[in-house]
Amino acid sequence: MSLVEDIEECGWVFGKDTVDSLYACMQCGKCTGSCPSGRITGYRTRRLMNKVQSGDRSILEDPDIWLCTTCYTCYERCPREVKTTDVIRALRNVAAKEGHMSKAHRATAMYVIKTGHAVPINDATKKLRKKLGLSEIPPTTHKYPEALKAIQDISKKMKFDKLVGFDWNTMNLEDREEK
Amino acid sequence: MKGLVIGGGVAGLRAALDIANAGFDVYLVERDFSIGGRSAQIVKSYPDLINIKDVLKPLMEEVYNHGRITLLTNSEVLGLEGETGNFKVKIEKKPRYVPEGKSCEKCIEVCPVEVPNEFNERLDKRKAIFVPFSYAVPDGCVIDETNCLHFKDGSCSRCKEVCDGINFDQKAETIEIDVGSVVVATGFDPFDPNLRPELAYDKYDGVITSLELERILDEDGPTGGKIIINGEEPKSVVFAHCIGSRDKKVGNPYCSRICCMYTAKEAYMLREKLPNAEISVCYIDMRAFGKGCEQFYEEVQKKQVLYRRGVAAEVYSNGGNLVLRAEDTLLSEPYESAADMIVLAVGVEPREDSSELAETLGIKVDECGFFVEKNLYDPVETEKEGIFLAGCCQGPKEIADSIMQGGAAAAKAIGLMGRHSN
Repeated sequence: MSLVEDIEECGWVFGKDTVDSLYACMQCGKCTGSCPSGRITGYRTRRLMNKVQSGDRSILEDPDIWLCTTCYTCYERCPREVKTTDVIRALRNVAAKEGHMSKAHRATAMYVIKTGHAVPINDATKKLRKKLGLSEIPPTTHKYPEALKAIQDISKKMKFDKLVGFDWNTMNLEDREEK
Repeated sequence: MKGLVIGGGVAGLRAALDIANAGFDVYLVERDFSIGGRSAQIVKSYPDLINIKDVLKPLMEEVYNHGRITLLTNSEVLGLEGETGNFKVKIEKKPRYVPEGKSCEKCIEVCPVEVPNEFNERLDKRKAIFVPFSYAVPDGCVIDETNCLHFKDGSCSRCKEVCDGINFDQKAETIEIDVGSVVVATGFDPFDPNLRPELAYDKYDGVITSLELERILDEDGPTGGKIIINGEEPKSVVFAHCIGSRDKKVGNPYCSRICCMYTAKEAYMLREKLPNAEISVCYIDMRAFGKGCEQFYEEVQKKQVLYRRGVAAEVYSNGGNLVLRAEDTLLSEPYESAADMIVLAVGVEPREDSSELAETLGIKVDECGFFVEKNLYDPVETEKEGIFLAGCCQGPKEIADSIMQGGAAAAKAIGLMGRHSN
């Protein structure tokens, strides 16, 4: 399967229009010039779009594709209405499937499986909630352990745990070769 | 049989003159106080750097003095009925309140109202009684009744105290004329860069449009031809192509055709005035397709104007200094360029009210708002027989092309009226 077909399949949730919009890219550089991540990292949106267009599979292993903060600035500004951010998100789905998910994203996924939260509660948040007149523990998996069980069942059923490499014995990530 | 031309820019002027010189009487209707159109705001043509004024002024005067041309300025077409060879057109003629012709301009001195001067792209002020521009035709002062205190609340008549010629009692009148053909040459509006807020046009005085720079470059302009921005001569200037062109986000998916080359021309003129300034241009693709244009582009590059591939992404201020951010797409690296002046090469848009006029005339507009020609082989005809198109109202084009299309539309109108006359 071609890279674009892979992206379409793994990014089905965004719709076929998302990847198709990529063909309208005129390589103007509005995305790269607008990118907040690119100010401090090597992330280059236009170059990424160019590589996807030309079917260059090496980008699946490129750690840079995980540096997009999904702020959608490029998406908003693109003069050809390329759905840049969603293309990147769909592309990450392909990369994850092929075992190239970044360590930071795997760690976030681990917290979701372990706690039901990408960012679990901590003392500082508890204090802040109290200050704002809220219950210390939010009405989420933190309060309802049976809901956490449901999330973990879904993770197993969807093989999300395998995708991110979650080890149920250690309740932590398996060791993987990181790029 | 008489002809009608709507719009007194270069296309309409050419059309009116050609129809008149072929022996037909023709009405020329212009919405502004003066004929001349957008071209009157432009200093030089590209690529041959001809002074527009040298060409336009005699053309305007020839139209004004032509025995077969009835000039109706400050007038608008309200309605059209009938069919080819026999149109009845309703026109509203609004008053100037001051007789045409050279005037002493004492009235201007005493007028207490100051408003932004549209002709100079609002860079300076004019009075409520004013001369539209230095070589306006018809010549002389006019009163802009929306800003004049006499028409607002009757509190002022200072101009009348110094000038007997002024007549506040003039009223708008609606006339009906019979014409055999109509040439539509209503021109364009420049793109409003506020629709791209990341370029901060509204936020910083140093960010200007290309039309504003055109006024600043003019010896008759608001700065007397001196390049002054925020009170100082800029040391660094960045031009930004494709502002409001090739941009689906703002509803303009088309190329405006003229911006690559007018930017090259403005960069050339700027280099003559600022020999030591850093001048660069952000472009997506360079479109120098006209006769002599590629050579001119090369000449501009040789004047040390740096062309960097990649559209302008955003503009911000770094403690008083303007910074333009973009990607150099040839290096695949983003960069930031400090600039005292950023010139946005704004694109060509249909007139704001083009759809209304199309409805009045019974012609079509395309999905972008430009009037639609009949077909490839009848490029100045519309689907409505007897109505012809010329200039930017049909689609973006340069001055020379507009003049050519004006001539072509006139030839078709003459042919049609000739057939009906026999």
